[in-house]
Amino acid sequence: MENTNLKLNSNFRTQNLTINMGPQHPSTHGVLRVELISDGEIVRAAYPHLGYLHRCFEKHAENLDYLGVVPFCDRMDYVASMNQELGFCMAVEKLLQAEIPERAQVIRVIVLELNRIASHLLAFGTYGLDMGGFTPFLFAFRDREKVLRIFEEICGARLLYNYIRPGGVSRDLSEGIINKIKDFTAYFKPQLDELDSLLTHNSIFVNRTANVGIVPLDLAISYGFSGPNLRGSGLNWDLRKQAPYCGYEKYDFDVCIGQGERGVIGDCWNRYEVRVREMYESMKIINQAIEQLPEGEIKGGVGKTIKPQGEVYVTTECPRGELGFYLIADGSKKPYRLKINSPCFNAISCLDELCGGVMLADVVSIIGSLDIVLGEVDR
Amino acid sequence: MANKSPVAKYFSNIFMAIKTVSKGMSITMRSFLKTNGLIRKISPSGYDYGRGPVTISYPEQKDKLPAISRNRLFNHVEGCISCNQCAVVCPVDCISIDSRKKNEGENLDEKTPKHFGNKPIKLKLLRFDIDEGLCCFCGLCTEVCPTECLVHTTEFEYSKYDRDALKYDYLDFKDNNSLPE
Amino acid sequence: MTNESGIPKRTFVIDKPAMVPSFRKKPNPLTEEQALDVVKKHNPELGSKIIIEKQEIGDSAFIVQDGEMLLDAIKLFRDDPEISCNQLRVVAGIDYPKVVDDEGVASGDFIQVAYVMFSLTHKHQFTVKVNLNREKPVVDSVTSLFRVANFQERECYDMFGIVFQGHPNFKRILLPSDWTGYPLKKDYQPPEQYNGMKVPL
Repeated sequence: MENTNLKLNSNFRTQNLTINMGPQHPSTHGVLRVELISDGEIVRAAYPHLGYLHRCFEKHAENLDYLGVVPFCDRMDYVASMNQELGFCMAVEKLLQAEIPERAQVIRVIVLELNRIASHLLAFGTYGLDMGGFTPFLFAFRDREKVLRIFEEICGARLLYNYIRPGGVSRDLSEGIINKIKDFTAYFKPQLDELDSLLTHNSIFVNRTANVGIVPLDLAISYGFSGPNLRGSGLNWDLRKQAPYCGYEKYDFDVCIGQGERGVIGDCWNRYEVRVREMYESMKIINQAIEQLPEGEIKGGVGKTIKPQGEVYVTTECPRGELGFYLIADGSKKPYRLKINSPCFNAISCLDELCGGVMLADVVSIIGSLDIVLGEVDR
Repeated sequence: MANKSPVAKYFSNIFMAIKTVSKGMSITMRSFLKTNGLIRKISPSGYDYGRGPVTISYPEQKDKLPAISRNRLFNHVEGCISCNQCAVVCPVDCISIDSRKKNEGENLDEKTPKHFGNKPIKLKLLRFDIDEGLCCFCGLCTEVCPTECLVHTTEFEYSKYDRDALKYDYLDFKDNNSLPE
Repeated sequence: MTNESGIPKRTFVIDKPAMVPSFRKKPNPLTEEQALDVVKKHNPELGSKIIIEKQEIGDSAFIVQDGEMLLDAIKLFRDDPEISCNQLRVVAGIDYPKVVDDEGVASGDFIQVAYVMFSLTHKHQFTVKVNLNREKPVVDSVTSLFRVANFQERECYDMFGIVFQGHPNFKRILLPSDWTGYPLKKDYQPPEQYNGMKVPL
């Protein structure tokens, strides 16, 4: 928006300045370099430069056997690891045509939704921090700490779990852990109401994020947006409802779409609000899953050696979008080709389009609302 | 709302700003009083959050990690049968094992201790090194060990000044956990 | 107030940003054979150049035998109302080096590019593949049809060396711009040194 109503001397010359919003920056959520060409305070172009965290995971996966690829899958989007392990394990299970036991499916859903809460809390907290408030950040991380301790009791690690394997899960949930999860949902719901009242309708936050970075729906589909970014633009598309996997059809929950309560549908505020409301829905799913937990095995359908054959493309609904695994297997112990479609990679490609003509401070709002994690962008 | 006079808009902006900012400040004030032990925080649904701070003053107070926590590895070499499974399954190849067949003079009927399953030891272990700097703490090696002699401990405070000092030799284990002067 | 703008103009124009799916229409997922019949109805010349590669387990794919007709094929898949694949999910490159098996039968020796497309209205997923020459792989860019292909094709070039003609910003994306070699090819050897630093294996 050009707000310059000043009339300056006609001999006044200006020049565009190239600023590096460099790889080390507190607001770029990782090592992202954005080359901004700015005319005073107004940005004319923003070119993202990626590759600072590139570990060539796809090449590593061609030299590891299937059980060894799972710890590497965690390390892409290190904030929401369970969802990625699930995507890879579903691809392998589809090729082996394996049936997963009931108890393993319900445990997977509990763990996935807990991880979704943890990931959205991080997105919420860091977005508040980018806008200038320290309080939501620390409150969100205090609650996230509870989730990470539950994970440490379940599988032994706080952030990179290696828990979901082809065929089921690696360890069982004991009574004590289930009681802790029930206690967590009772603890978290009032905290979430408090977090919501801190940031969502705060007039400083609304003025910085409403009507900024508007992505109309056809542009969102063309740029490959998915997940909360696509739902914030108004489309009712959630893979857990449209193409259910892992037993999601048994649970009753709503799909959160951007309503346009503040600002316009498709702007930063609506994308943020979809994430906050999704946390409420995740808690509903966890409560239903704990009640439905059946007895039984936690692993099955897949033998000791894993040697699938065929090609398949599988997507799951991750907290940042739809992560896709394109697996080509040729019957040996190692994958022939594993290609990963990362939702954050597609989202960051839209930065140049969104940042034409906005102020410098709005670039920070836009990057924060797309919710990128550089480990997934660069793989 | 759009047809307000500038004066009314000015005052309503001030009012909205004060209202939302004071809402946030009341939440932080409640949290401040709870941290300093002055009030007990209880939610409207009846959940009791207690008094006092949530942070732990780290070096003086330490939290107890659960027993299955995956931190530094340890190998009880008296239970190792040199099956090489851990080195094969490791995704980053941080375990190095050397072994050879037993000679005539060595004990051919040796078995592992009872708590490691009483399995026969057919090979002599010459070298068992783990490079903890490379280890990714995935836990796959502990799952495939048949005698469960390779375990994860809860030890996480083992920083060193030199990357080579992170290579542990489990046949001659020296745990110098104190940092060099 | 004058301004020197040294910003390159955006040179490509998208002809139709994407069909927004209308969920009022009942979804009607097609099988591969039915989709091929629809293609043949609209464009028989194109339909004759497409064959279906069936897999026993997993997704089957369409192979376009003529690389020139790839853009028309993808445009038809996007615009036709019965297929209406409005989301391009991934552009993947796959390397098949020349392999001679025990009976002396040679197979491979091409680089394949796979376009996985999905329809939000009908909920079916189709994979369109095209085989390219392994020494000099060249194909048209689909950036004018789907904007997501911008970054995806740059990554394919970075990893395999496939040249996409008509791409608006054609350079490496994940690796540094002065890196030599294309890592995901099967016969790739990493260089010994890069700018004076030793490359770890």
